[in-house]
Amino acid sequence: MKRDNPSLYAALQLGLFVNVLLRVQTLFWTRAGILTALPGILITAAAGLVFARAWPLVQCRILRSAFIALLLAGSVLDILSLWQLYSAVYPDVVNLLGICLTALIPVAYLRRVSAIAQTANVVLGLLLVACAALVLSVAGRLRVVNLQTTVIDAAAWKDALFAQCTLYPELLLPALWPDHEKRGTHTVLRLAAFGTAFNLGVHLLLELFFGAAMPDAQNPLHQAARCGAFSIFDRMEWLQLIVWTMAVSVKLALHLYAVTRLTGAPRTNENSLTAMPFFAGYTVLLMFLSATARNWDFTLVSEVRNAAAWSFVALVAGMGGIRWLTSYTARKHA
Amino acid sequence: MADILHRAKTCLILAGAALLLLTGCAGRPLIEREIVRAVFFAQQEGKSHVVLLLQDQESEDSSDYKTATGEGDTAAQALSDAAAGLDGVMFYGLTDLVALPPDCNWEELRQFASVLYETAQPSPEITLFLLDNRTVERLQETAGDLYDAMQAVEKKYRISCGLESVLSQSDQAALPCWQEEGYGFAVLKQGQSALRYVEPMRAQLTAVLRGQSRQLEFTFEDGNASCRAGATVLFGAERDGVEILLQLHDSDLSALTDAVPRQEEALEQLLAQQLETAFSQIYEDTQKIDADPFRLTFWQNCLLGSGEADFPVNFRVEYT
Repeated sequence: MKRDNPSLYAALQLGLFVNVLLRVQTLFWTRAGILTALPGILITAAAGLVFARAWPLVQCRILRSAFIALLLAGSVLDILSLWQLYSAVYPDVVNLLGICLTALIPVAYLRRVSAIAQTANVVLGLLLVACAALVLSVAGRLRVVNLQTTVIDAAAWKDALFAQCTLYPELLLPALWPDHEKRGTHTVLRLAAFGTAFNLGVHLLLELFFGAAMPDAQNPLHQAARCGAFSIFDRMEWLQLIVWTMAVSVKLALHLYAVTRLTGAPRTNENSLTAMPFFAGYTVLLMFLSATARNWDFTLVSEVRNAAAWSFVALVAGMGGIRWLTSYTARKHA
Repeated sequence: MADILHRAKTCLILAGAALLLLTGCAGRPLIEREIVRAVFFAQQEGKSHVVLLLQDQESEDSSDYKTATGEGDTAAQALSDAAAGLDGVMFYGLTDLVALPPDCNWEELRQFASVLYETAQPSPEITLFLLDNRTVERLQETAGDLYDAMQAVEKKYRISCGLESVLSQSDQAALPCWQEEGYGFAVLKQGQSALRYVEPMRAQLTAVLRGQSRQLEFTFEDGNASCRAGATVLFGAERDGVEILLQLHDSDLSALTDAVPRQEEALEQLLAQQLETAFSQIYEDTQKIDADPFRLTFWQNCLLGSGEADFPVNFRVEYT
């Protein structure tokens, strides 16, 4: 049973961590983040849970297409984030096509659910070990006096709450899984809670490292990693980049699996292989979209994606609520 | 048969991808790059100048450098001008030192920092120094030696003056100043003129109390005694104010003339007195420009609650 229907929890959690590692590192001060963590977890988890309940009731071709568009937008943002990181670290070394191929070619070997699950566990483990090494290596440079003691005003509260309420596709994907247990309350809550804890941890680390200069830093986590006392990341930054690239590949593979489920691509069983032509089409489409969006305003696109995700969840929840009420009334009349 | 076809298709796709990588995706060769090791900003005759210290890739010795200069109305323009005069693509990934004009204030430091974030940001830790009053021509002649000497001072005094540690406060900054003997230290506060210490004891004490250095090495008592010691700073709070404890370890104090006692205890006492006097002066100076380089208000806020702005500060020296 486990072989046919493996757990994708690690892949989902890894996907949430990738968002933090590549994009959202300096959005708020840690104190404001801690105070808004609980509302943030509850709001995002509630959205995920409501979506998981409503989606089976309302899914139709248009909504499935909208969900695919959201997933593609998320994938393109991940590829572009990775490209920006590589461009900053090794300017003029690898172009966008190279990054697309580097991240997407491994997905060819992650077309089976069991492969995604196993690889995600390994990469998640590697990522956590790398994070622990990073904290140890920069421990000497972390200063408690760098924590900001300024009064938290309304703008700071708003920034922290909005940042924590970002709705990533990973919180919605459990709704697609065939196994009901895997879209249960505990899965979504755990995803939201660990994702927020990781986000807060990264913000705390960077605030202790950069102090007031944190919002100005470019690729702050990477910069902090390279300043490590052991020079682990300075000398072996390629290793760090490989782990981040692997994490993005697993995330893209997860999105590919979700897209195959949404398009209803033929599968003999849950763990069957996604067809090669389908993968090739997905790869070409992502490369085309990435090339199209390469010069767009990255922050604006992220905000639009988030607004679209919330609108989509609201639409599905509204339609699901109406469907549930009408079926409940019909049952009562019967 | 189907399996063989499937494998063949996979191989073809991977081979195609590899071909793309090998033909179209490779970056520019390293030899075509201008590897920047240090950036020296200067102001002369109302113009911004920059001297770039570049790795000489044609030389077999990795410690050989060449220089490039540029000028403009702003630091960014000067940097672009210097880059325009070079054939290769600029690479700042190995830049580890940036020197700024000697009369730089806090506002100018922020401008230089934003230029650095936009250009040299791939560097893990850029050491910042304030330059001395040398002309651009002399700077160009001595850039290589200056770079080596600054690196040596940073290592000797265990200075930590990366961009992230210099700019860790929102309205003030502190960084070392280059000088022939040891190093000076400057405290820059928004809207105020810079506070600059050239005397080694005060400069080094300020750096140590800010957490930007862990080594004291200077002469004291009018050059009659010398001190070399590792330094750690502990902050504490009591009912009557914030206490700063300067712990000196592995200290090596010696009398250079007969004008001072040769006993170690007497020298320790003498040094402690001088450090306390130096701290009082530094604290008074920083209060005058409304700066808090030692983050004393942080400890007051955390340990005593946000009380009166003018709280007492006690400074003690301990030998371990």
